Amino acid sequence: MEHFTCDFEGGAKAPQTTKPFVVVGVVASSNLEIMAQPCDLGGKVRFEVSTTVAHFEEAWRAVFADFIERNQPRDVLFSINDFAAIPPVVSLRLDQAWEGLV
Amino acid sequence: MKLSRRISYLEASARQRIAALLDPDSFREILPPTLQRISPHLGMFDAPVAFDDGAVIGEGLLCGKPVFLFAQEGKFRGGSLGEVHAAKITGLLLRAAERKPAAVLGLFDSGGVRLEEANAGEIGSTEIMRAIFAAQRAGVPVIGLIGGSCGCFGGSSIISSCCDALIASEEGRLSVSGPEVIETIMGVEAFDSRDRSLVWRTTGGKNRFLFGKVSKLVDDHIPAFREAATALIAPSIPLTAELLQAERQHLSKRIEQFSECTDARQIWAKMGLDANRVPEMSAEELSTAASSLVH
Amino acid sequence: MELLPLLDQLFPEGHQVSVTDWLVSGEAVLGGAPVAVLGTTNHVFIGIREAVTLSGKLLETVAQHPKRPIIMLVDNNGQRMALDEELLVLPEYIAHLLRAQQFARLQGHPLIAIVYGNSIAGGFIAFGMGADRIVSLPGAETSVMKLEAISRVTKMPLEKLQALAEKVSVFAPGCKNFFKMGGLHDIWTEDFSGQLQRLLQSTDTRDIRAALGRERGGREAASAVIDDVLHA
Repeated sequence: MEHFTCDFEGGAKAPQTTKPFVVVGVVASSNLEIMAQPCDLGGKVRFEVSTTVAHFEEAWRAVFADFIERNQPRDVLFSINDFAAIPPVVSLRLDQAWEGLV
Repeated sequence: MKLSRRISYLEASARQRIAALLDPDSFREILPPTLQRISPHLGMFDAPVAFDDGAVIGEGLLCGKPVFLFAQEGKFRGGSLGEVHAAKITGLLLRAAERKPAAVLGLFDSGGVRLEEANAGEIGSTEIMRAIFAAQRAGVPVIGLIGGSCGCFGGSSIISSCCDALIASEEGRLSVSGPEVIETIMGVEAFDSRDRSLVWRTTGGKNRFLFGKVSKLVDDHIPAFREAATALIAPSIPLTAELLQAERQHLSKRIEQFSECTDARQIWAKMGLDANRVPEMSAEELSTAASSLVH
Repeated sequence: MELLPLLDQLFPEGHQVSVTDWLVSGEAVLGGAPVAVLGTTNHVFIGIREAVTLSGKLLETVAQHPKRPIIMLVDNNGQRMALDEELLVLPEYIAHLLRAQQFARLQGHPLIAIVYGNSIAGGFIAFGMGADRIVSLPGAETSVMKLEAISRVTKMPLEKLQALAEKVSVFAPGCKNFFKMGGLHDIWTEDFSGQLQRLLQSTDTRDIRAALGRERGGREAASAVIDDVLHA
């Protein structure tokens, strides 16, 4: 298992929901669970990742950067339990989680 | 004929089932995933954890009635009972014994005890059973729902069988030992676990319904589970000598009547059903056929 | 431990216990008072017939001997593994047996399970783990699943699993592990009769196993989770 955290500068859109959290996905093979929480991060977006596949942090960062570019989120914490999902699945889940927050 | 879209219970996640089963926006989760009460043991096996350890618990409304609920996530490690997973369910049932909602709903979807935490899961399963008894003693019925892809096996099968009533779809399975395990230990002649038709005839919702263990057989459609659960809510019936003797008589009679049977088809024929048609019959058809049988 | 010497050691004041093929049943005197004795032997598999026989004996004791302590002697190789058992809904039979135990409890009968042989998985659940207090004797073995099978399913090499089992008590067979996890209230090595009498004086119907698991360090999370859910 590998664990890492990364922070990104956020965009203009803060979550609108009153919900304390959103969870999408499940920790099944080739899948992942993403929990998204509104969180005062001074405009940043944080990703805390636990993954069964080590040595791919760069690929994760690329997916996160694209996600931020696409949705312009700010002040959200994404906590992830990954079980070898491929990047398109990760992107999909991030978009689903974000949709639940706006 | 159903005109509305089928909302599959089988394919839904635990959280999706809860959202569609209870009154909209009524669910309040207890020990939510934000608290990250994860498995303390899976890390040793280099296995991924889930923030809720594969069990979602909380309170909500079912057609306006206050209910407590637990739901197993079958897609996480086969819905297996680990230390935290089991403790969440035990805690919820003990909470129900104190606060007395109209019912506890148990959404079972589990292959049994989590082997990485075998002892914790096993002991935890029996703590859940004691907690079901505590809830029932307080008059709170525990209603089990069986219709997920993992079925309801091992410790979960016994837990669910302690419930006041069970609702199952034909896709649901209920059995102590899984067919694969029986095959591994006793050989393929004992149970060919790859014969899907055999597996479902033997352990599936229809067989369990025809024996009366499942009270209501429903289509794989969450609104059908919702309707059945609502209709089954009634105070838990206290344990008495008469009740248990009657139960024992019923179970003894089943052995007498059907011990020669080696296949569900023989059982169904003996019951007076068209055994070949049973697998094709809808839940409604089979329920109608069963109610017109002479017991 | 062998059954007949065990009966003599548990009940030096006398016992009238019959032992057939697999069923142990009768009564004994302990501290001057009668107790019921019910159990299994010869590493029986607990299936639908065993469940119904055992529940019948329990219900008989409750009907005829109010509040009499029930000493459950545990020796089984697990649940019976057969298509025809599951076909007739084996989990329903085991639940019925557990309901009979709960009924005995509600009627004021202390339930003490003594593991003297094997106690495995579904068999132990059906008869043993539903008692108020559960203890083991020398030579007893508690097990959910053998390490070889756990190794196969979890895909962890057996040697690694064995090494892990030296450090944690959460998955491996063995009474020491089960004790540490709170699954056994006690492990007896001597003075069984005295220990049983003292246990009967101190027992109650609360399920304290999660707290024991926390105290002993084998199951540190469960008790806190249960408490937090109760008070949320």
